[in-house]
Amino acid sequence: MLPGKLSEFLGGVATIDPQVVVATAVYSDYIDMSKFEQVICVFQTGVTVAYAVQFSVYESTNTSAGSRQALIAATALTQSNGVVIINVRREQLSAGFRYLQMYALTNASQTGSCSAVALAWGSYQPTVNDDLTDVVEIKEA
Amino acid sequence: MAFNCKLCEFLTVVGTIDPQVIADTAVFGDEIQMALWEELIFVFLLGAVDKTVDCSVYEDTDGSAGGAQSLKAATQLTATDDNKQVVINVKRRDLSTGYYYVRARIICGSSQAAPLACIVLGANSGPQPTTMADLTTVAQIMT
Repeated sequence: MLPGKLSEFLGGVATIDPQVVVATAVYSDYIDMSKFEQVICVFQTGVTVAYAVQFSVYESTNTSAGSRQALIAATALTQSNGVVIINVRREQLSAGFRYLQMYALTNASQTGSCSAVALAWGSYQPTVNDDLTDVVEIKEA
Repeated sequence: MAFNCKLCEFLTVVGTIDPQVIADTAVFGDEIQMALWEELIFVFLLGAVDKTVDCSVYEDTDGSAGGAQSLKAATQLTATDDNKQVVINVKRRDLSTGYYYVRARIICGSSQAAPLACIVLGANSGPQPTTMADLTTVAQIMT
């Protein structure tokens, strides 16, 4: 077992904050994969209606969406209250690419919410130092 | 520290509060039997909130919310805490005597217009991978 707490080994490094995603793609924070061995991206849907939700992970060469392209895409999700997991190891990135973003897209008439969080396993521990500044509290005790 | 398997094989999605608008009635996540897990990490996600939000983890004596009581509670978030996250870590040994189950809980001060969500990932010291224990609502795992 880990010689510490999960919240020390895993960093909350990117999110798509809970929101109603419509026809304009929503991207998460950038994840700098030079710092992490791998990242688990967990996407969630709420009570979605009628239209499939597309979840994927994009890679880019910089934090300005340089050469941004799809890296791993899940099959469009049609179920409400569903979860999709995309696991990415650093070596899966294409040559010259360093950053990841999560991506969500559905239809203009969608009324259900979506969210996503990426937890990273750092090359150096504890990864908790790489948590987003939006992580306001880590409750352990 | 090197890690020799995929994170999605080591970590299991064991509970959620699906993204939704939460009013002043508490919303709980799935019941999680701690006998199966060494440790859990709860990640609470806030959207553009406009009311107070309380995120916590409850413990129960059984899978039907028996003897429900608060185990760990984060500091209350306020109407200005848009798009924030709260992490709560629970180890099996943290549970009170006689308690075997935990679940996430979110409640808002009054009717909230923004969605909130929670995801719970479990890890254990037993055989890997643990992906077969993922919630049945996990539709796809892409690696």
